Amino acid sequence: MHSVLTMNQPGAQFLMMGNEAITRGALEAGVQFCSSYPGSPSAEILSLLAATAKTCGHYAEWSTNEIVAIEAATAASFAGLRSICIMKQNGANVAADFIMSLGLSGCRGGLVMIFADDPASHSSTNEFDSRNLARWAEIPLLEPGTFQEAKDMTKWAFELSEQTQSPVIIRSVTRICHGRGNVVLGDFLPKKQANKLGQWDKLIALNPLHPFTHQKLARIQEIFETSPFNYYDGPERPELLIITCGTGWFYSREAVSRLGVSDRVGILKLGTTWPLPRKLVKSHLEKCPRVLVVEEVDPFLEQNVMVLAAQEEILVKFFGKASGHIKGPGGPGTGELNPDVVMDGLSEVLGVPRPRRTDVVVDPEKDIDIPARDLTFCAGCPHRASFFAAKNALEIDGRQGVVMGDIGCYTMGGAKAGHFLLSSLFCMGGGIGMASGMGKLEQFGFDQPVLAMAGDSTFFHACLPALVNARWNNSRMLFLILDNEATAMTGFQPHPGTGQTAMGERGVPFSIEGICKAIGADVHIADPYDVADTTEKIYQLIQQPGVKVLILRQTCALVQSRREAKPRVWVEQEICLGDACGCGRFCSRVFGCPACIWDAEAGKARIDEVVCNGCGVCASLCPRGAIKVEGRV
Amino acid sequence: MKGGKELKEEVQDKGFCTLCGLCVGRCPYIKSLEDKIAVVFPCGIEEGKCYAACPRTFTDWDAVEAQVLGSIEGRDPLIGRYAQVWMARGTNSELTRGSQDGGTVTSLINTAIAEGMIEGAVLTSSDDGLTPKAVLATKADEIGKAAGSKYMAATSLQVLHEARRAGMEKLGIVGRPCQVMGVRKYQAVVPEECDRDKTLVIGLFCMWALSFGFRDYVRQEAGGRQVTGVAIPKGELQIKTTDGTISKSVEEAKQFARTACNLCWDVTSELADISVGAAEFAEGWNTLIVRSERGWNLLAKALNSGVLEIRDYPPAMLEELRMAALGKKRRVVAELQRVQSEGTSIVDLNSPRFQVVIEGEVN
Repeated sequence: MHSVLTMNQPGAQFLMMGNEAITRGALEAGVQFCSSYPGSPSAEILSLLAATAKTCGHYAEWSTNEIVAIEAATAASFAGLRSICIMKQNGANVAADFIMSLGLSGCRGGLVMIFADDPASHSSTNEFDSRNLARWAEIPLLEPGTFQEAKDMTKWAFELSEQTQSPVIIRSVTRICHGRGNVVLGDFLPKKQANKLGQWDKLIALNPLHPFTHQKLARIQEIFETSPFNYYDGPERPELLIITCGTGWFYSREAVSRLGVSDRVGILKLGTTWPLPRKLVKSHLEKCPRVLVVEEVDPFLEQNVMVLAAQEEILVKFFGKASGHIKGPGGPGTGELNPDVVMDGLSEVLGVPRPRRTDVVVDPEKDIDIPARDLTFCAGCPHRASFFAAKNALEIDGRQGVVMGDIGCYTMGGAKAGHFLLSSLFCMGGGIGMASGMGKLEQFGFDQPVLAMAGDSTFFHACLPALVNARWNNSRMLFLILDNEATAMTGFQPHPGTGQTAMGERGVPFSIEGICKAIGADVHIADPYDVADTTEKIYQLIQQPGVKVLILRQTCALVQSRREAKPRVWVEQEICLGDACGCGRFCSRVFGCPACIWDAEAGKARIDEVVCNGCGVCASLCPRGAIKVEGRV
Repeated sequence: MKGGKELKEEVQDKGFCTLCGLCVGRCPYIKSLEDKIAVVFPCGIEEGKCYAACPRTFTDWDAVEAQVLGSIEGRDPLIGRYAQVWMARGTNSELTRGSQDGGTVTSLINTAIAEGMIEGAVLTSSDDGLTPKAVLATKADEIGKAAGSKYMAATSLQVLHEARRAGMEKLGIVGRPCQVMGVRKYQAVVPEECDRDKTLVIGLFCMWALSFGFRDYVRQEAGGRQVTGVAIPKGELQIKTTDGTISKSVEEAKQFARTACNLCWDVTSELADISVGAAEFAEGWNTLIVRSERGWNLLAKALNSGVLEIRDYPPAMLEELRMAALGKKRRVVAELQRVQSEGTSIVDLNSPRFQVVIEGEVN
């Protein structure tokens, strides 16, 4: 099944997704220990490493969160093994405390971190540039610009890490992770044995080591000066020099080609962006006094090159994010790059006309009006019922209860799907932490009920310290744990509550209620599909002081629909009164399940049986009892 | 016409809601728990039956009375149109166990079901002797469980809609005066959902209903003891526990009276078929006011079957009842004048029924 990842055919070429290429690179390097917490766009990598673990003889785990993942991976490195740790941009923040020490301690066996950034936040709540962490933590940084490089850099990163005893960060972005391109396979390196750790084998991060870190970086910079991942293409003395990295390289090439300026513009493509290969960059700056820097998100490379030019006293006119020439729809440093963004900047800098796109033909006659769609939950999603119940409970209570949101599918509950119920949204675990604080504001006249919401995977990831804090300091709040038995947002990865490990071992599932009870919270459980009961429980619990936990337990509708046949749900149109009912099309307009649709022809409600996952909640809410369910429920 | 939006703005947000429960559960938008009712989502309907039937939106008392009791002579400005007042009590101790006074309501409802006048009854029961709970009762044991006064306001009319969905047409309703008015307005607004000729309305006497804060107070007073019930006979608040009864002044309870009750003009459920209250002068007896023909029928059946007995009502006691009603009406009219001067129109204070109280020429 994973033959492209494991086949031993050096020289063979395959179309691979970036995440597959990174996985293959790690496998070719003989990786032994792999850890991650699922996050888009990098979630597939550990899934693939787990799927190949038995075949290849390595170990792979979903860790409870990213800092634990990097700690575990570092331990393997300490024992002399090659280890990889994968995280999305936000995960790098979670792991940052440990990573900041890792630059100081260095490593033993090759230790590679994959940071996958999500410019334009396609599947994130925010966008930012994790490369800053590499510079901050003083750890070398590589940025693949092609799928081949994604594989080759990963493999080489282990070599570099062992050679320099420094961890290495590879920064990918969504288009590298999820795009596809040709990759030529390499050979597999042999695996190692774990070292025995003697009494004086230490891996510590103390400040006296700081000068050594700087010496290490100087050595790494020397290695980077001649790295084959850095190369130049263009005239000997170009009129304009593009310095780029990552996805910017492809986009720059396309822009130069389409503007027809390849005789005027040269492209210096850097794969090793931190520490900057100063001599290489300097030699190019000296040949061209006009530079356009093209890169995703922050002006990271741009500023490093500017500093270099200043230090070397080379007079260069810089174009890029600071000058406003490379900018997304929200301005420089926001949104995603693409060839058009680069073409806009390049044509302005060169003063050449920007050609109209000719490769995409849009026939206005054939242009269809695609209705805007809300961010919403899947049909049958237990979260829709949970938000509906919470909305009802808070409205009945009437004190304007505030709900602190968190990161997961239920984040969408901040939109119409959840009746705009979430008042705050930060990072994983941020909601309960805020609720813990807000639940202490009574003495200042704050009298609104305080709630927090988080999912089961998020509960294990980041909620425990805040829940302990809330209980310890006797905050007044209700913590709603939306337990859908899945890390649904990123693709149903297992977590401690499911008991299953990444490699498929079945263990005893962790009891969320057991943990909460041990913390001393007053714990209750409800089935969100039972809207009336859930509403009443939420209402009752916000009347009471102290830390309350209500676990809203119902399996993710997508997981459930894979397990067993879906019940059939339909509208008995004889019973449905349509607009004469006075319900105001409640099922489709207010409850808003995508399977609850309006049959315009009949003037009645209808269930889209293809979309419907059979939860039956709409049937319990229809005031006419016109919605029928056959099967489970 | 107005709908849920105006119901929220003009009634609920102003604290005028009586918690009758009529607006709850007829549509998917208005929900209730304990002593709270909320319009959870805007329904978008411009002409809402919820608004039209609410006892706290503008009510033409004269018109509603004419619809319900138009044929009844004998109008009393203080206790409404009625045919006869009696002392009454249930005779079957099996049926009346747990009743507050004479078990008259319990006996009447049992009769109505036994005689096929109604299929079920909207009652207020309680699981803990304290917290009211709306029930749709069809059997003697369910009716028996609902016996006894509940002092906290119950949103029991929501059960009307459940009964209708269950296909029940002939329904008995026992409620406070505000609930009686809610039912009468509902019958006028949506007669197809609540047929006046198929509904039997037994109204209770009521001076005020308490908020759920009373429950916290009672539990606090009981300390660790299990509360089994509460009674308020003649100025005394009795908190009954598994370990004896705690006696308090009724004033303790009154502090939890709902402010919305200050706008309630009606003490004796003037638009019911039969009204029932305590007969404070005679322990174990009720005051029973027969108002409509349906009320007469029911009383006759209860007497014939022997589950109820009646006695003549002492005229002096009737005068005492009327004066108690007058006292309340005077306070309420003053409050109505204040509220209406601020722009809310709940009743037509120019109607003679209000003017007679304002002018003080009542006898």
